[in-house]
Amino acid sequence: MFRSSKLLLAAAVCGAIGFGAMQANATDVTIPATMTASGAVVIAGQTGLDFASLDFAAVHSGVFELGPDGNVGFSTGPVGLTPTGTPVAGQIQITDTTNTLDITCEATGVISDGVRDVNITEVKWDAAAVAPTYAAAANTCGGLGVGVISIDTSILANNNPVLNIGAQLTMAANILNGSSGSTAFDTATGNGDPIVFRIVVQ
Amino acid sequence: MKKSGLKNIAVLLFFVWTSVVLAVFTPVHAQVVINTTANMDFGRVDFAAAHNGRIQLGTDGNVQTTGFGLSARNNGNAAVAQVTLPNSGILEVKCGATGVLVDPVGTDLTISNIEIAVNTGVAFGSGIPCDGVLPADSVVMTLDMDALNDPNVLFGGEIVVVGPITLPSDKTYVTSGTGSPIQLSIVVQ
Repeated sequence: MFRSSKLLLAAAVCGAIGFGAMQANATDVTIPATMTASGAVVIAGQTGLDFASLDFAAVHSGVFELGPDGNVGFSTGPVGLTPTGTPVAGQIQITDTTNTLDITCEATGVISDGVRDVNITEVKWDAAAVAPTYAAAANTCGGLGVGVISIDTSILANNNPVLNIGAQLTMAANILNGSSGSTAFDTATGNGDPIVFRIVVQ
Repeated sequence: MKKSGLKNIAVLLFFVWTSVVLAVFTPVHAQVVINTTANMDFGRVDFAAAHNGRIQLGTDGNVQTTGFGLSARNNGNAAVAQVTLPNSGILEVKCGATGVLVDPVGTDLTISNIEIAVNTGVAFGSGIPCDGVLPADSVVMTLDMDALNDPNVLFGGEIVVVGPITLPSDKTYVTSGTGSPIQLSIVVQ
């Protein structure tokens, strides 16, 4: 009987403890967080395209090209056109060694003296260490977001790439007649329209 | 048998009574089940050589920056903790106001002004500010589990960049290791 009393006591205590164990505390969880930091892609510098000067006769036409190497020539003609001065290729200098950059650009533009407009009918660029001629340039602009060319700047040869840019001016017949020569044609005058490059970091 | 038997019956009745009393007066709380279904992610942020400002993640997952030299390249993720149990009752919610992001070689970044929202995310600054999970800290929100079906608690916050961090190599900062994750504490009322 003494033994059965102990069993009863143990059973009752266990019951009491069992009920007591239902007491609830706070339920805690921890939530991880992350962030990835990268060096920003920097456009360290840019240079506008400069076709220099064209002397023109009363009758003139041609397709005038400025290569990424800064040299000019004609793919059609020229008739009554003579380039002079020192042309300069366009250039975009990018500071980046970690990302893949997607590059697209507008295919056309306009230079104007406020009265006459000359169309930029093709744009080419090349990121080679030695800038090529217009004909040899690797990339032809197809429009923003069109024909993406990617550059992985983490590859040593592609560190801090420089985009050398050329373009083509289509000189409609006698388009320059009346120009005084003292008013430069540019993309910021009149109906001028600059060439836009888009650089997207992947 | 008679005397000791009666004694045993008395003892048994006493403990049965004790158990019943404990059963009646001990608060019995339902189990709380929380599943973290998404971690907090501030996404990828570009740092210029000179930078100073804040990186803010809303409970809607949108990342914005203030100041200069900081640029959020993409949106991030608000953290999501889904409370699946209990199915009824009122839950009191506390949450940590800070966390710490670390990189093995980078500067520690403190996540501050952590805020929460339920089910629908909002822009940073429009959530409910967390106050901490200590006993003295405030319950910032209650969840009516009768009305809500497995509610999602969404977390946002901001990183105040007070000094330059090591660049330009990509660094992924985490709250593991020597970092400090965000805390959520839920108590049944």
